[in-house]
Amino acid sequence: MLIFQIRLALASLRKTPLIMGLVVTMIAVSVGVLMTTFSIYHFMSAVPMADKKDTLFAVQLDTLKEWPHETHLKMVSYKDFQNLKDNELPINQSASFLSRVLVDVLDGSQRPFYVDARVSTSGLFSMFRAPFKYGGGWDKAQERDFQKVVVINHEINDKLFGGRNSVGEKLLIGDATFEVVGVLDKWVMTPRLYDLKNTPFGETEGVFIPFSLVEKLKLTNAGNTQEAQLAESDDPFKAFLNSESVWIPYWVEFASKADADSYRQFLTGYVAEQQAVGRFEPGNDSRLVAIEPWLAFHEVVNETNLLLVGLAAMFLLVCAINVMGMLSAKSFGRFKEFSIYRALGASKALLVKMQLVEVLVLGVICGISAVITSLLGLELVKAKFAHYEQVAHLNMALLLGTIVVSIIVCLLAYLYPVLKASQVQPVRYLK
Amino acid sequence: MLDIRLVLSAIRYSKAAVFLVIVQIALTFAIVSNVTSISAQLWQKMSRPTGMAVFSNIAIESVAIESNFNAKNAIAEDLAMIRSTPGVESASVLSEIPLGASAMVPVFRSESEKYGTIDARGYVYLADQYAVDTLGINVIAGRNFNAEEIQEFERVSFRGAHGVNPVLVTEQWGKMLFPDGDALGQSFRTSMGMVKIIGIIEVMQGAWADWEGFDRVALFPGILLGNRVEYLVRTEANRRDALIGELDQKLYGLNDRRVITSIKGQDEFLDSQYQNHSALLTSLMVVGLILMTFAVLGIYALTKFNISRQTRGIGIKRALGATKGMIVSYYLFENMVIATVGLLVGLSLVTSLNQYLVTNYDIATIDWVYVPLVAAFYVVTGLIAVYFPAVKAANAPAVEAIRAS
Repeated sequence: MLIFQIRLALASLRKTPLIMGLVVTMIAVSVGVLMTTFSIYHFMSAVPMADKKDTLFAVQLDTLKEWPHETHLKMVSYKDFQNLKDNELPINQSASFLSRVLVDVLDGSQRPFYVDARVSTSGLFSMFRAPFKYGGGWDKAQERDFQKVVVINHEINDKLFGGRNSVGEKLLIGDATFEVVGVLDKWVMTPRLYDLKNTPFGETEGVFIPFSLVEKLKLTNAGNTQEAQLAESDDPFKAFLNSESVWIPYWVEFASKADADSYRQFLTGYVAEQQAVGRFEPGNDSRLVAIEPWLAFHEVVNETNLLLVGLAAMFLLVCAINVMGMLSAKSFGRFKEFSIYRALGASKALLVKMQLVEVLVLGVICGISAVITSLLGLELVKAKFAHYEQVAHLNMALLLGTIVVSIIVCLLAYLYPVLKASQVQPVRYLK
Repeated sequence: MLDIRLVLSAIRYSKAAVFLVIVQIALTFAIVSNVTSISAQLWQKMSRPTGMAVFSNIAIESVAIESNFNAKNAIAEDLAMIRSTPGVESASVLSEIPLGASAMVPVFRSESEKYGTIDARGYVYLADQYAVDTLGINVIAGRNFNAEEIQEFERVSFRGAHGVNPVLVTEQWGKMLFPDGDALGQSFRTSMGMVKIIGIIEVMQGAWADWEGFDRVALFPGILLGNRVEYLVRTEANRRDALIGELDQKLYGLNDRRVITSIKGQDEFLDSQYQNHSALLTSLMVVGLILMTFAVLGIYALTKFNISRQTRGIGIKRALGATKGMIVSYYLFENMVIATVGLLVGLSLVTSLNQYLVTNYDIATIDWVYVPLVAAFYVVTGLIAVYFPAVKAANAPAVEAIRAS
């Protein structure tokens, strides 16, 4: 019976090809546009590491008052990190910055090339759950001993080592020889928590270098620096490291809430201690900030993305009204047909059921078309705008959502005509 | 025949359908008007003059591999080679490429009895005496740097200079610091040392298109010595693309122990500056166009369907002496009435939607120029959408039309 009704529904839809073609196109395009914009917004506004909301914090230090600017709160200075890093409370610490380094192979078989690098402490990998293909991160001891070890991403591994397990292999960074200890798998994290200031939607850096090597190798910051006055010195790099300039996003993770509270006390003490030597002005805003407020503070979600979602929703509304008009027209045109069914003994309920089957069939067709347009839309976004690559994709929930939204739109658009048509008075139309 | 009462009584028989059409027109009108206005504002923002000859310029970034690199000699060698290459008109070494995303952003602080203290941030680029020609900027008052004024600094340690440094500033920045337009010749403190304004640049853009200070730019006389060097090369416009490949090879030929990390037209930086804007503009235009198309197609489909149901009525009217023209004009008139009501309702929606956008997003108030344009476009396309089905119906022979059910 159901199959018969579906065939009947398809036949009825085919009877008005212009209207049905338009209905399917309109719903497919408008739902497609909505899902494209929504999925981008959805992935941009995602909160990674949400399960660590009570134990993972960004360290905010309020040091630079010279030129009023909020940006200085987003990063810490090198000397503050050095002062804070030996505390035992955090189980993981991630102080890192973006750099650009020259990568070369030992045997000279390839041209050297520059690549984005992240200079970071060992805690970054476990704190942000870096996926490893081979090997793993370096440990605290290796970092303390200034060992030249490196983690590379899978693209660099493909380029330098043909994709094989390269743990233990050597490569040149600048003039120094490094040993590969880990190869990262594809690492999608949106937004990229460890550096929201510089690379919230960036690709995984090509190489990761231990933070302890900063002074030895003079690794310079390629990200944002809030500059402060430097002391006169023969060694400008050292003067920079010792200055009040802030440039390092700094995260700490604790085993428990209690540890976090103890750390807060420690931080208050540190600020007081520094105030005694003339740093950190009174009334300053130094504290631990949890993930969500930190994301909000960095305004990583571009407000135009929300605007586009709203616009797409209005677009869908107009299309739905349009569709409603066309479906009503189609339905009203079938009063005579319905009257014949009624005269032949069909109940009102059967008429409603018939039309519901019809609209469900229509909804499924629209839904599938909408999934296709959504995927096309996202491909288009990816092809045109490289920096959306991390956020432009559909997951299962969004995929199902697309179909459900299409069916609901069809149902709503058809509600009025169905009710109206089932009330048809056969006598009037059968004369 | 063109009586409003006739239309009204016809409408009474299909209230729901007409209501839907009116709501649809009103919403479409509100959305498309706002979208058009936002797109136009985006377009205006994107087409602000850069002040520079970006389409004739090549930007080159070269990074030396060796750590004991003699930057001074290498820069002189590179520039000599570049300048002697046929097709090159001028070449300069700069601290960063203007329109690229990085630049120094010091505070300039003018202190005078007349204006009090005025702080204004802007972009500063270190440049040599050839930069004005290479960039293609206009110095509208004062003078360019001369060779003696160009100092050398280490890139890693440069935070400013001692003494009073001559600078060129854009008229825009000059006016912020000295509102009466008497910036030329003034000396004042900045977060990178004392400066004196020796020349005024007509227009020049800096590093972040979204920042209000995008056109607050100054040139500071100097060359930064370091492994990373930024060259800007002015070429004969039609030879630029060929020169990009040629210079790339020649630079490697001169010194192999370097990496040319980037060599491209300066206009490509402009494209990256406006990548988000152009994404938004494209999305808005696509959605707006599809919306308009759908609205018109919807009217077309509805009219076609409705008229096909009224074939019999039309036949009777024709038999009673109505001309084809009268039938067609009736439907056109009916459409006009409905469209007008829809547009009037839409007008209030245009304003409220715009107010919502202005309060919640960083969007300027609607430019009313586009509203009547959108309305006119809507009316005309709506009439066209009605015209064809109406003509088709009117052309059917009356006898057959009456027999139709």
